[in-house]
Amino acid sequence: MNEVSLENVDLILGWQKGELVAKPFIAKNEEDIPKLIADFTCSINLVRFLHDLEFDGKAGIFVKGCDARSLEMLIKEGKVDRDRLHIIGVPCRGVVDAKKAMRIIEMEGLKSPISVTDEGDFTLTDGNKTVRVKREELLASCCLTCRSPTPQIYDTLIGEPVEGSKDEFKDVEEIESLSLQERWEFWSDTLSRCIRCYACREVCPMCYCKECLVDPTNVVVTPKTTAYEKANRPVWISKASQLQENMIYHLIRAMHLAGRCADCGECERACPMEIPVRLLMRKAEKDLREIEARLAAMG
Amino acid sequence: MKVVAFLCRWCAYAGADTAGVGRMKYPANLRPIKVMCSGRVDPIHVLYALRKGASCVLVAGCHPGDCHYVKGNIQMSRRMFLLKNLIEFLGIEPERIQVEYISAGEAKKFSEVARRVVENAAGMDGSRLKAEWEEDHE
Ligand code: SF4
Ligand code: SF4
Ligand code: SF4
Repeated sequence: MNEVSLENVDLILGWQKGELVAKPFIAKNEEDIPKLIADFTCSINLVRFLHDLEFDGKAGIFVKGCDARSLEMLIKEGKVDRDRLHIIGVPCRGVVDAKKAMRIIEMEGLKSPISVTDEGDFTLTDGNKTVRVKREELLASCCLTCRSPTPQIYDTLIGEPVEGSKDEFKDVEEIESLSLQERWEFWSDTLSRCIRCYACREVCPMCYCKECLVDPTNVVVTPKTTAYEKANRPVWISKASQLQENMIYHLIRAMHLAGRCADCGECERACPMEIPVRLLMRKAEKDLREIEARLAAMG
Repeated sequence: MKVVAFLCRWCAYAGADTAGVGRMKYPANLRPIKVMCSGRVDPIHVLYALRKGASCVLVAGCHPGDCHYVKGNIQMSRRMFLLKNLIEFLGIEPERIQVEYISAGEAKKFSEVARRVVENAAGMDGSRLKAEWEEDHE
């Protein structure tokens, strides 16, 4: 990483080696620099941490294409100060979805520690047994349709730009082609699994509200809050993980993220129940694009 | 069977008022809620109504261009368009959410819309978004 230095910045938010998922890492000294990595295990979107990170001067941050999309949006929304960031862009060829990898590891009976190498396709090995896996089978689903794997905003770009693919929203169209009843069956099946752990919200760089609509316990209680206010604070949806509540949670999240979601896939990778969390966001994105195109055609 | 109607204070609610003054009938199943602007209606208000058992939700504001707050009604229509698409994507009838533009003078239009929305709601089974399970606890 000789393009990266701590010359102009207080710290660098980057990734450090992990087994299947690179760990977030804050480099503060020159000795930390060699520990930084940027490869197919760096699935975590570091932009999320900017909301809580405290620093005096300037911070460096590593971003992939999708991370840059979320960062761009946060700058536009005034949540992040562009002048206090040094953005290190990493053109990305896709990241490994650890859950997909774990499934293969379990199936093949590989033992930890496992090392993964990228040779076009992936090779998983624990020293004794080696398994080759097709690239598409191990990549996170958002990477298969990634529109801009090369960051659109950066101060330093590491490596050669990567060409994006055209996103055709095949996954959304698949659901749209079902009848109303079939769709209902698909979604009641899917969303009744949701345990409302809110992991998908916690990892999302665009979900930064201090008080979330779905989480009434977050309402700020001060010594001046009256008993009346506490008793009558709005509870729009129940905490119970019942199908209808889950649906409303996901609908609201999709409404709040419409036109803002960077499609970084963090929500989907974080979900313990393997719910296709991105699907609803993508439906909103698709519809918004269609309207945009129609308005542009009207002139 | 109930229909919740969010009516903006300047146009749709005034239209309902005019209908009342003119002694025009509209179905009693329609429960009007006055809001300052149709743009104030958040998706959660609509979903909450459906969750609590409303069959249909009507959101009515001023005609495009006539909004008292310039573009609240346009924002409402964009929001409701997307919300309708999303619930349809989940397998819930998009007709459960209705958007109308009614001016203060259009008493007749108001009573017609009210009747149409209630009839439409009567033709459908209970809403799939109703939190059935909650009944036992309340
Ligand atoms: S969505 Fe694009 S930029 Fe993000 S990890 Fe996947 S390929 Fe890389
Ligand atoms: S979708 Fe998944 S991550 Fe999100 S709340 Fe439900 S179970 Fe948790
Ligand atoms: S909703 Fe999911 S894919 Fe979209 S920005 Fe948030 S974490 Fe990323």
